[in-house]
Amino acid sequence: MSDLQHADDVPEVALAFREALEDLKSRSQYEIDNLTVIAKESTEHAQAISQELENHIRNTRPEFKLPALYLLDSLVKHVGTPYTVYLSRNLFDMFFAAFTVVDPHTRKYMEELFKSWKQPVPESRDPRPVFPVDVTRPIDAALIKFRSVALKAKQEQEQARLQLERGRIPSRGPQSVPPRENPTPPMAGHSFQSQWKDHPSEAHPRTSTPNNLNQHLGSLSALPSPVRQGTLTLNQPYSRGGTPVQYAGRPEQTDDFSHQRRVDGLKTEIVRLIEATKIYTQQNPHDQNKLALLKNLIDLKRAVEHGNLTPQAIEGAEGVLRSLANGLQAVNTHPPPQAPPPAPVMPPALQYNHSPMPAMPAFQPAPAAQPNLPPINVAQIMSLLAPIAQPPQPAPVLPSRAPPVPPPPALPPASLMEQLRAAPMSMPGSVSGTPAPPSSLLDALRSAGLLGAGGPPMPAAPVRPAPPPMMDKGPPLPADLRLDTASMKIPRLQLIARLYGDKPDQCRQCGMRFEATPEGKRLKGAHLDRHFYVNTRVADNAKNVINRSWYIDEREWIHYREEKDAGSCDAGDIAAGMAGTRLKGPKEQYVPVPTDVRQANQPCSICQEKFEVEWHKEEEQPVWKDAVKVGNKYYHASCYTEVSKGHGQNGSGTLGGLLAQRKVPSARSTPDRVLGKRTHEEYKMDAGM
Amino acid sequence: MSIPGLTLPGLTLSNAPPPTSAPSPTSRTHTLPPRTEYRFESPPHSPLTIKLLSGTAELFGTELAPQVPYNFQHAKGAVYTWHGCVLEITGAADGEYVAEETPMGQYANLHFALEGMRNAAEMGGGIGPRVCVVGPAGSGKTSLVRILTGYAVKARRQTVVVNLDPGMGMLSVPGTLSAATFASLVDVEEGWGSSPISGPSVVPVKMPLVYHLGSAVPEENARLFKGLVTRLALAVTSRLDEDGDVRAGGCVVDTSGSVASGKGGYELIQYIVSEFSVTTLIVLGSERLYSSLKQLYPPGSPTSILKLDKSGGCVDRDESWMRAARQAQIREYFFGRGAVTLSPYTQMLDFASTSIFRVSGPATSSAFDPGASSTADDDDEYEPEVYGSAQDKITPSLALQNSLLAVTHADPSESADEIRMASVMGYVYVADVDEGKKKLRVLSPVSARVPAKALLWGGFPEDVVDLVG
Ligand SMILES: Nc1ncnc2c1ncn2[C@@H]1O[C@H](COP(=O)(O)OP(=O)(O)O)[C@@H](O)[C@H]1O
Ligand SMILES: [Mg+2]
Ligand SMILES: [Zn+2]
Ligand SMILES: [Zn+2]
Repeated sequence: MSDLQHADDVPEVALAFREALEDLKSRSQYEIDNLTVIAKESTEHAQAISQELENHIRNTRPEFKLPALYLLDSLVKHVGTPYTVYLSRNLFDMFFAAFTVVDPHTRKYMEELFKSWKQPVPESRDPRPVFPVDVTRPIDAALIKFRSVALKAKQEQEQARLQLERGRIPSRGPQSVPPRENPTPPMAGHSFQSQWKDHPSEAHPRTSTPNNLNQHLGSLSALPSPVRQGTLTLNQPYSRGGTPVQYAGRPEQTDDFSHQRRVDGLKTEIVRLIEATKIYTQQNPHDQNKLALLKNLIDLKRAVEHGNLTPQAIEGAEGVLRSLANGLQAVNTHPPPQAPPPAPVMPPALQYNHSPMPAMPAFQPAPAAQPNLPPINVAQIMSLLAPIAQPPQPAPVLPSRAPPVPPPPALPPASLMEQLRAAPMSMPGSVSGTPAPPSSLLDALRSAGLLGAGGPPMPAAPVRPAPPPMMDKGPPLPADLRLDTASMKIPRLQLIARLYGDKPDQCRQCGMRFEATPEGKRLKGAHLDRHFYVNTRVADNAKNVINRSWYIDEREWIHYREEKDAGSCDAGDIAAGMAGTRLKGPKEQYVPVPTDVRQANQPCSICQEKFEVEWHKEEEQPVWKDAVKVGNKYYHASCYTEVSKGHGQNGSGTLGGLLAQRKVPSARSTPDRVLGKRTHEEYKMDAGM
Repeated sequence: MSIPGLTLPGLTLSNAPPPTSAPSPTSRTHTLPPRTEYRFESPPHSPLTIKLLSGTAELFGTELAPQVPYNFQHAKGAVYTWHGCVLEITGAADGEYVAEETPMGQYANLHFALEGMRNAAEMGGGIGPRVCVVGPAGSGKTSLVRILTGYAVKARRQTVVVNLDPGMGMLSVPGTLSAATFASLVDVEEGWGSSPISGPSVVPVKMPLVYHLGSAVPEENARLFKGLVTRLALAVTSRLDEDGDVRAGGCVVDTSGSVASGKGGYELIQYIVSEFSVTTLIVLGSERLYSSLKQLYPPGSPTSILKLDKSGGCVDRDESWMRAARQAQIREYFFGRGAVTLSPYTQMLDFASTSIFRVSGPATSSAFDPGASSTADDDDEYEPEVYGSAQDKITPSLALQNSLLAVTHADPSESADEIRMASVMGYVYVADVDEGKKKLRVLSPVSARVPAKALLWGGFPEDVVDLVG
């Protein structure tokens, strides 16, 4: 990497700082305070000290990155300038150098930490955020993207794997194969039962939970990474008899992190099954069972994501997934079951809502008769999950909209741990109360047609009662507000306050309104930041060429996430960047050689080597081969991919593209661009060749 | 050489700040009592400027900021006030008046009823309401969809808006079907706002998913329309499934007036309802349509059907008005609008390097008269015909001149079906066809080589003659 620091250039205090950093292995308040004081007393060496910290954050082992970031946090909050200035320069790179290699739990802490940087220093008079908006915005954007990209990459890998598998297994068998009347899953109900017994809930007692945060963080960093080790071994081929769930990591792990790991593993597994089922349904768009399964899997994923699952529920879900995976494999090995004897043909008016969408273009003739559809019984599943997620209480505690996240590090450690503990463990009473017996979940799935026949039929589970209106959405809506013409005609002026009076704080620039609450204030702050940012860019960009971006494709659109509360960054820029680079592998990426001479002589910011210039025939201008521009910096695309790997199957195509928005368009003005090209001669003159 | 787009008549919108000192002679104020609206038609070539001096006001569901001038050109619309307001109007209007009777109370009730469904969906982790608005042309469907979208944004919801009326594009050009999630402010001045551009945008841009139908009404190419509806519905449903921020918000589907005309027994409406699993079907402005649909969706069926009043402000837009609006939309795609000037890029393409496919299948009898009449009735029957493949690839000819080509996400090697069903990256405009040199001069929105993707050519939108000088 680029930071070749020669010892003789480095002031004494920075060297001492460097040494102290090597010992910074926990979030020790004492150590961090100490280093903060040293830094505060040596502001004349702030640059060198900042450089030390930056190097340390980049180079230290993943488990020590978080303490170092906390030190950074302390410097910018308690000392401020000039540290804020120096540290903001490469904050993005530092942050992601850490973020990409730490485990998901540390990521949560990092995200919390980062959130606090977008706000003013607590207790400070200065209303400005810790780091300027233009420093935090790209990080914000990348974080948002990161979440969807990570998931997408995972799915794509799985899909590729599955496709390989399907290559070996005929997916569409010859029609002459007799339909399987009774697609019995390879595992009978019995073995599920016994498996649940193999994993009684006592396997997850919440024994000693360290109260000392440092101690706990230590053990956290010692834990194997959940992604690599905590995953269920479901990915491996199944033996027909059904292998019990095994953890590659520490099966006896009993604290909440192991719970979380299980949840993570479960999620991965669900995503995998969703992908597999999608592929299947694309080929067999009329297999209603599998369409229903798909829908149910998605619901299950949602329930798991919601986070309020007890160990029992998780175990139940694991068992279900196991059997589903087996079932699916069996299905993919065999031709799809033929439609059952034709159902009475329903008049189209009645049919419409029950037929899930065909997964693919409707150019093929529709089958003469739709199979008789089993009811898609999500309600049953939800009703079984419901008592777990939401214990019946007179005044039910509503799950908040967002999944629980650890509170900001400012909280006292004890309460932090408490919340962390509480988060995955759901509500009181869920364990000792009346959780749905795992077997009934399974049976419900089976009776919903998910597992095919196999177990004894179950009477339909009670449908979950309609939930009361949301509490955070203001007082309940009037009961007479129904979707009929008469009800629509009743004037309800009191409701209009929800659009106006309830949000008295109006943005003078665009008219958007915000509540007069701390949350409303926060949103408005972020909103005004955006205005400021955009207005600045509009002014900066006045002479630059702007053009319409290409639209994204289906897959990208499905995974695209809008910016929240219009507070972060230009959604369009991100996508524009994505669309521009997404199709290329690192080696095929290039950027036009910058017209600015200084920039044109810049080396790759990672390896410090110069770029290879090539005349690009199609672009009709000189380009740097294997190059990407991120922010104001140029990198070899391959270097960048290397550094940002873990971001997806081509990191530079995603994260790099995402950040391409930061690019300052060439200083060349409109005419050249519109006329299309610069000549080689012009280029040589520009570059002083 | 002149810079295309900068010297075009009608393109140089006045961005000059409105007079700040003494109001100009044409400036006037209107005082609106509560629950009334100011309706206006602005002329094609000079903007009408509306400024909210006091009180509150909204335009199709999106609130105006006080003291900020909003410009409208070649537009019809209404500024509604719940609490009363004073507006300052500058510039000549082709027509303007204050109306006391509006259906806004009903529309707001609809919004709140949908909010109730969204709250419930949110609690159950399910998908929010899927709304579809049907009615004859000019009954205010698009306006209602905008109102619902604006209110949903105010309620801090994200909803997916789907445009199934190819007559006008949403965040794209005419001839397209599209969907986009609205999570941020809806543009007041400009229909649906802007799709992404490479620079900053004051009103956040929206990210559409776009398909090319290439005809003005669905019935002209009913089979392709259905295929694309299925594709869109699949994408929208997946998005709703996977995006926790949109799930409870659900979607709102806008339709073309032609599907409500009764030809073919409302088959396309039924198709849309089925594909999007519509929960709430809103009928505007037609008793007959309402009573027919009521029979198709009787009480107790999963789709509830609701009739709402059409606004008295809805105006019929004649064909020449619509045509001008379409051309403006195409201009805007390439050159931007208002303060945002976009710079498209002209380039030459070799015939050999292009792969252009016709939207509709190989010529049968009616293909000589594209778009002349809708042949919905015979077109909707099942025909086992498949779209031809290689023979559909056309050799560029003068016929392409002045028309738009859709750049699809599909590779030219894919089957013709896949190409026609593919989502669209964008559009290029054929400025010139040189049959001798076998070259096309095209205007591309993006300043890089036109991607080597399959291009689609349809009879709609119609040619734009003077897009490039
Ligand atoms: N309340 C109103 N006052 C004035 N003009 C309106 C009003 N409602 C709609 N319009 C205008 O009437 C025309 C038709 O409305 P629109 O919503 O586009 O109908 P549709 O989508 O059903 O064809 C549009 O130009 C629209 O701007
Ligand atoms: Mg419309
Ligand atoms: Zn604003
Ligand atoms: Zn390099």
